[in-house]
Amino acid sequence: MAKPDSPEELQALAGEYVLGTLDHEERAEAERLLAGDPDFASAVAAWQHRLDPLNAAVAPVTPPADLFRRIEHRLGEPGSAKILKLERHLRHWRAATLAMTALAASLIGFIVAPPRGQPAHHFVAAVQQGGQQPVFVVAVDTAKGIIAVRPVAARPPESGRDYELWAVGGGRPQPQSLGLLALKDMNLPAARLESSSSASFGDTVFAVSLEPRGGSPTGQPTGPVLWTGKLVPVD
Amino acid sequence: MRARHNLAGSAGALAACLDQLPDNRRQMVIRAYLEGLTREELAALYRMPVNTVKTTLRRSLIELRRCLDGEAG
Repeated sequence: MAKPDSPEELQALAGEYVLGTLDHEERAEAERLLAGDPDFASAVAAWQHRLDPLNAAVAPVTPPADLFRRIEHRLGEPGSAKILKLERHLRHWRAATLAMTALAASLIGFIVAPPRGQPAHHFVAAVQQGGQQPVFVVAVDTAKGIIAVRPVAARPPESGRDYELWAVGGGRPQPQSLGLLALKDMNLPAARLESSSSASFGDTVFAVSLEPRGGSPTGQPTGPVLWTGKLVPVD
Repeated sequence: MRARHNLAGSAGALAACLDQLPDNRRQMVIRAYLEGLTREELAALYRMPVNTVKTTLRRSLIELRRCLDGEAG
């Protein structure tokens, strides 16, 4: 494949390079140009700048349901450029969960596309410790009645222990157990959450504590609270 | 705060320009970027030939660039 012969072709190649949709041969050509062609390198930089705000927008969105499965699937293809690409997008997504800004709201409509005029029913919490990378991400869809829990960087609990998820605050007199967490994608019923008043729903904090195997024997957290995340509305 | 304002400006401009694309084309750009979808995956999702995905993405990118750079002055 030769160097693009029109400025528009060069822009398209640079744009698709940043988008991540080039095929293997085109990507190799783009990388060759990137190293040796200042015009192309600056076109790529400009595209990265143009599209970068999307990374902020991704914060309040549950990652695509099959993203992790696809990563695992592709790990079975050694040397695949797709692995690097997926890692890049995963990194974008993880970084973005740390930066839940109002900015995100301006772009989020493109992805979540809620029906107009309906009250918020999507909430997300990045459950983490002290501003580090999220360990779990919890997304609540009150319309569907599910709490989707996705492990992001969680390690297995020590032997004989379980992680337990709690809802704290938001008008609750005491922490409510939402169930034990496994290190896989889980959907928990949102029914318990909805028992709290919707006005304070957004003040809910999720907490994960380390409990004896099978969960807290008392119905209240007994072990250390490892990670917390505040629930924020996303639409 | 200055950086934040600049960021807000570019996010707002991108949102406005994405908004000018037809729904499917806007989604394809966003999903390729954020979800890492390949042309083949987009082709399956949006029920079009892979080559059409390529030309569609490129047309969308060219329009986005025109819109964004026009706005930036």
